[in-house]
Amino acid sequence: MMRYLALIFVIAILSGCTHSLHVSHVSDFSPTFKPYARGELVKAQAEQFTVLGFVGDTNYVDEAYAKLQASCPNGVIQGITTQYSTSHGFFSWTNYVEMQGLCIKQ
Amino acid sequence: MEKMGRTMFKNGLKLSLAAALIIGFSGCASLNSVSLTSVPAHRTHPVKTERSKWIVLGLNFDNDFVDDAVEDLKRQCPNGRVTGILTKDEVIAYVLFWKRRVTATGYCLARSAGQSAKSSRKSASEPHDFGSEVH
Repeated sequence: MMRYLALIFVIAILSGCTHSLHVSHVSDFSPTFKPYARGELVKAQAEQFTVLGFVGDTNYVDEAYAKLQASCPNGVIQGITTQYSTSHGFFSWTNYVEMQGLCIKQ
Repeated sequence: MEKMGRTMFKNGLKLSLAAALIIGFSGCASLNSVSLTSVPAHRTHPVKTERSKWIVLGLNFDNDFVDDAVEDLKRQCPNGRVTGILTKDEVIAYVLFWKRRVTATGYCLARSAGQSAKSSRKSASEPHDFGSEVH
């Protein structure tokens, strides 16, 4: 019995068991005078692992933004969904920022 | 034996004090919100602004510091439009006080000469149309 309890305890420690979404933001679709069907879905994600919240910056957001721009070098990115979420572990958690939008090449 | 115990106690106290100071003066950053508006194809003129406010014991009576950020972006792009704005609202927390910081980065799309001439023919109240991005 104790072995099973220990196993459950270890699994609970090593695996994140809750997830929370803090922000979900959708940007505008400003006019391009080009059909949206020509657009291509582009995505970018960055993350930050932290133990007890001891981190000194939020640069992973800028990293996600840079990746999104790199995925659509010569186009307009519209209808961007920005999600900020956290997956919790045992005294530690991982913050995620995910951006996805429609790349319309010029 | 008693002397050794005292020395160990003093060393422990010093270590605890040092740890408390390090923890107290190293801020922990966390994100409150993030948003991004449509990103332009021409990303040659980046603009950036940052505004912050110190808050002690949570005593905060307004959020007016954010308004300055908008004005600053307008100043950096007086004759154009700012798009691709990444806005971060974050908190850097210390023990009894924290710093609220809002950072906005984007791109200034300047009006082309043709658009300026076209818009000058429009009435002053009519908003300027930057077209497909504006270039």
